[in-house]
Amino acid sequence: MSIILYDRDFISNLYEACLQSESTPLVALGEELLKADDVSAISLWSEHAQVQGALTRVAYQQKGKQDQLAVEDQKIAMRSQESQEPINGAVTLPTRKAAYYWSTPLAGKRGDYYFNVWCSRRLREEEHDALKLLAPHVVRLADIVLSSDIFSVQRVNRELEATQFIQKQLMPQIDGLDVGFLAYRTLPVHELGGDYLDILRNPDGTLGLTVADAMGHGMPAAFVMLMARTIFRLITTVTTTPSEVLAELNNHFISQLGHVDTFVTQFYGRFDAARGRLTYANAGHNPPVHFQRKTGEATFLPGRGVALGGRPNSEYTQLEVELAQGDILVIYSDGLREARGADHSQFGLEGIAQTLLKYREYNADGICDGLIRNVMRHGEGQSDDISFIVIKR
Amino acid sequence: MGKTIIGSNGQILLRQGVKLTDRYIDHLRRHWIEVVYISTGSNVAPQDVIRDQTRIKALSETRQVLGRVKRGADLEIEQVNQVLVAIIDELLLQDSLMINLVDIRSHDEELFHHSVNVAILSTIVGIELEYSQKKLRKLAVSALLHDIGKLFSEDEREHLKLARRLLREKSDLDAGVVNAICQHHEHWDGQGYPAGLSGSEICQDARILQVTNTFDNMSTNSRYPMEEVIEYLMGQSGTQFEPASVRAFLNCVSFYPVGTMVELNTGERGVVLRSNRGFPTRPVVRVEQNQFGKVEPCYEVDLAVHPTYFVKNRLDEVTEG
Repeated sequence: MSIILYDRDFISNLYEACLQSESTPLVALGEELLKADDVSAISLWSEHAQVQGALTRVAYQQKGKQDQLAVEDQKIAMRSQESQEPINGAVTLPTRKAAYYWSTPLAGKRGDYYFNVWCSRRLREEEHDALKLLAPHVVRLADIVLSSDIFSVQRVNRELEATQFIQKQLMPQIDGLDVGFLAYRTLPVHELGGDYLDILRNPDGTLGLTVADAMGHGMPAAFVMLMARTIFRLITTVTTTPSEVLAELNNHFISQLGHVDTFVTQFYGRFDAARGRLTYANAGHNPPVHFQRKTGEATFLPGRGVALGGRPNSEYTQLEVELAQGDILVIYSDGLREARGADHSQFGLEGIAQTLLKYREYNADGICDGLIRNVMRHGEGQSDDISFIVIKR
Repeated sequence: MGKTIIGSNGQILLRQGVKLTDRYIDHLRRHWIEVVYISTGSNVAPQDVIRDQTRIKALSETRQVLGRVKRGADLEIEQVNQVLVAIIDELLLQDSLMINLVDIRSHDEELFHHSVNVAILSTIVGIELEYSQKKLRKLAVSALLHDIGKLFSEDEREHLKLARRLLREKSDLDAGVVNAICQHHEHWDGQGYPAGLSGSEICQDARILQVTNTFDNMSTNSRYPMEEVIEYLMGQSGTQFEPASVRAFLNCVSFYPVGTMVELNTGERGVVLRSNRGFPTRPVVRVEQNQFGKVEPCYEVDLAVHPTYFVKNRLDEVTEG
């Protein structure tokens, strides 16, 4: 075959053949596609189940040895993810030869896939159409392959599959929130996290910052978290005053989940970036750590009310803290503070304070990386979800 | 071998790519070599910031010059200058200068290796601070000769006194250079020695030397992992070190030197391929393994471009043996 120009029959035959092949279906598909003279490589990328925006390569096959193509392939998959529609173009390889690509996002059962085809010449319009015909079959093959047992590593249990959307819901939705003074990290240990971290832009220009922690782990915690998140997001459309938000949240929580023996701890603050002022209230959550540049000391933010679901009509004290130039604030979940070392010691305020002292010259992103590095070095593997927000003025 | 090993006279002891046998290990031990880079097939050799030839030449010339001083001769500043011009020129030619010193030294010749390294490091910081060529030259001379007093005394305080006397009697170095050499143990907060100078009382070159000298002493023979050395510098910024010098230094250094094995938050594992200037914690990683198994051929993830990725863990320590 000299060009890729498939018709419907050819493609459905191909699909059947791949299913019955002795090697895995995606490998068989790749081998078939590479039989076309001008096709130089094909690849399939899948969205990472836990890390927003990350892609993992599921399959890659190429003709001959040209390692640079695999490097370009990653960039094209990322670009395809960004544009969310089929893209095509060319890149120049170190050998000065051009490599032509066609890439498309595909909706699979467990999230989006990105399917790349590389060719040694420009693809024609009708070939784009043929590849679009092929695409749904690629999705089905990928779904089959990824739900097979060999890939159980990333695979979420079948029972959990239906609830995987929760996972995505729990992730902060701060797209387009390009603020250098703020960064965050989430590092779940289970497929479904019990931590909730969110950053909202309020109509008055302030930022709503929250970190919450549901009792327990896994599915039950994730369900509770999803509910708490929904109520929280609704309430913040009505008021962004921290004491009111938490009081409302607590009452709704009790009316919805009063009969379930569970609770949620939550910190909520409204940050005025221009003034460096944080107005906040705390529902039984770990007190955030405030590092003062001037003294080099780290202290807990005062005030710690009743956890959500603890007592009806609880009132939450609203406090204010001003961050001076160079000050750092860390809002975090249990996992960060309670990470245990080999000697069972907690990472604790001490570990956080030490890290902030060392990383005070860095921006919020660098401080986040430093916290992860130090908590990982302190701990003997990760035993709890770790989530935190860092603000550096 | 992941990297060519250079002996004390600048001769090559073992070339990169050679398979390490018991015989070679004995040979290395006789030369007091304790740490080597083992290539694990990843094929990412730690790349020195200057060429092997330049380093070898710098080492042997430094050895000659200092050797003659030790025997009572005058300091031949012309020869020192030639060595440094070669280093400065080479560093100035690089468009994205990152500190990456491949530094395997033998114990008996510690001083020469250390001197050359501190000269390279200081020049990099000087370039970062946009020093003129002339200022770079002076800074590099001070750096190369900062421990000249140690030829005669190992004592931390004594060697500074000896250096001042020696440089006054046996050289015509300018006063700025002599001051930088004699002040390189002064701390920013005034807690250093010999004079307890603080802040701007210490000349700028000495403030840089304080950083680069400490860095090299701590990273020698991988005594501490790179991240710990960097964390120490950051932690002492404002007390031991001038913050501006530390900041300039941090712009050119990476937590994860080329060749380090790391695990990302995505579960992908790979080797650090390049460092990104200004993003010390965010290198380019060549992914060799992901959730679906071994990745062949490898792809690359640039952490400076993809904000949701981060290094979760460092996987290897330098192999000792």
